[in-house]
Amino acid sequence: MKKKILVIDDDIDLVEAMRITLENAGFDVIDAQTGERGVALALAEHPDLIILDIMMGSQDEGFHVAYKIRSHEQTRDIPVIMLSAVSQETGYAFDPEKDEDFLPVQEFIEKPVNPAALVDKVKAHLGF
Amino acid sequence: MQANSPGSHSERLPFLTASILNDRIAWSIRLRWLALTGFGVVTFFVRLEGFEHVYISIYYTLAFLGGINLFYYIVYRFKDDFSIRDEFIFLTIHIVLDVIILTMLIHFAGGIENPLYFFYIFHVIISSILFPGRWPYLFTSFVFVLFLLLVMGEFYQFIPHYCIYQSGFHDNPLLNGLIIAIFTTTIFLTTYIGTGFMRLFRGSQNEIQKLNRQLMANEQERLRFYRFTSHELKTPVVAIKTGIDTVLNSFGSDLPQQAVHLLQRASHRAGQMLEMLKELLELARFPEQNSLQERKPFDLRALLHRLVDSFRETATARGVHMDVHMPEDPVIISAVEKDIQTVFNNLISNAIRYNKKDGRVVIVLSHTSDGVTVEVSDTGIGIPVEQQNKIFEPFFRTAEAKQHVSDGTGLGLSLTRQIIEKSGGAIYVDSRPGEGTRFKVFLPGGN
Repeated sequence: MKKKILVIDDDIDLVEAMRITLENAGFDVIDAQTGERGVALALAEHPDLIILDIMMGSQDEGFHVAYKIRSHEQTRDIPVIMLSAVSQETGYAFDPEKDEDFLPVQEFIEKPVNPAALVDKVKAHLGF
Repeated sequence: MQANSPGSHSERLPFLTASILNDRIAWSIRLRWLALTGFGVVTFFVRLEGFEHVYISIYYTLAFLGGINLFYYIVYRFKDDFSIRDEFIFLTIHIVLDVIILTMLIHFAGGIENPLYFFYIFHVIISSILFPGRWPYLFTSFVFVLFLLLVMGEFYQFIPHYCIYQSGFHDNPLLNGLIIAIFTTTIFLTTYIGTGFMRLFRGSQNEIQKLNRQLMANEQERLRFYRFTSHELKTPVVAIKTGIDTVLNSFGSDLPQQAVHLLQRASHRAGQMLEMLKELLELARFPEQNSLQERKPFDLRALLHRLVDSFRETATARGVHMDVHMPEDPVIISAVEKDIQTVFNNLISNAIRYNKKDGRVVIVLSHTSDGVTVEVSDTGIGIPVEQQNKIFEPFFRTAEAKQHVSDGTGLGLSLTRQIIEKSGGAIYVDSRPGEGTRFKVFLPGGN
């Protein structure tokens, strides 16, 4: 069975680009353009992995979405990969040593995302 | 100490702060010692000449002046907190007592016969400069009353007159009247000129402060604009690059080789643009970001070693040899380590990138009397002399640099200088076209 990936990003062009990459790599892709819709979709569809943009609307909406996903029993264990524009820009420099417990995400990838690297990261988190 | 807070005294009296007034107090105390000594010495020699006079009164008066000056000094030395209001009160007491004592000295030294009364002009000028509003006129009127009392008192013999020569000046009503008239005109005109000039001066100071505030506001606006545009510009470029990379990655094998090449180049160019925007953002963000970060002591020597190690591979790949000269012991300076790392990262990276094959990069860290210097020299393309002062401007790159290394934003050195200056240091460049460049960075402190 194909693994299902949920992409939450408000930039439709980026969503389409990632969809092509991920579908070519053999995944099913569903997407949402707002955090709210993303959380609803995660609950309804229970994807195998979530790719989440930090900056949607507000500077840190992605973080709030991540917390919501973690706070629901049904979605708690879904791995989350976070996309950031430039790490410094949001003021959230991610330090995995310190922030692992604090930030409920598995990985940060800086935009622009290299397609091959994205596939590698996704596969790694899905245990390929 | 009270700062020059806007909206209070500084609005009315720019350049007058409690600390400036405090300096004036110290200055007036020194001046008073000088006057005291001068007067004492002159009196002493006059007496040696066998001149008959009431010296004892003069000495008493001088001793009294010495006493209060010592008291002023102790107050000045040991008060630890003062406001601009307190300083004004101090100065008012000082200057009022000064003219009273001067009047006594004039009285003991011959009254109207002694042109010592010219000395009142000093006090009138000082009060015109220091005191606000109508104060100087009040003070000048006080001086006028004092002098009038002295002259009239001696004329009508309410107080004794101590003759220094048998001229009978003090008995001559016409001379008394003339001197008082001229004296009065002089001190009031002096006050008028002094306060008029000070009004002009304070007005222009106000104007300068206002312009300065406006300039700061404009600068903030400019930085906001930078940030906003570079952020807004980045989003579409990210989408463009991601789109191209996705096509290359997913469908590249179906495309003709020429198309793949063109797309690869487009992706590279988009990446370059992102780098530029990133640096621009950093440049715009640096001034405010910097104020948030704390300076901490760290070992500059260790930082440079780390950086040099990280560049070894690149240098070797380009056939550039790196040489490092550093002291035996750690060199501790206090600064924002991340920023200093950016500085030397830029300088060393430039020294390698703009070098020639088989070139050298030499890094020398040394102590100076009040800090440390780091020299980063290369044997590269160099910078034309007339452009050496431009290389620190944002976006500037020399034609040679563009030719030698196609991608580069021209923002690195601009940020480098900003960081060094914020850290209290300085950067100098020395270069010969075709032979090489040496950057010398001075940073204050160091163990």
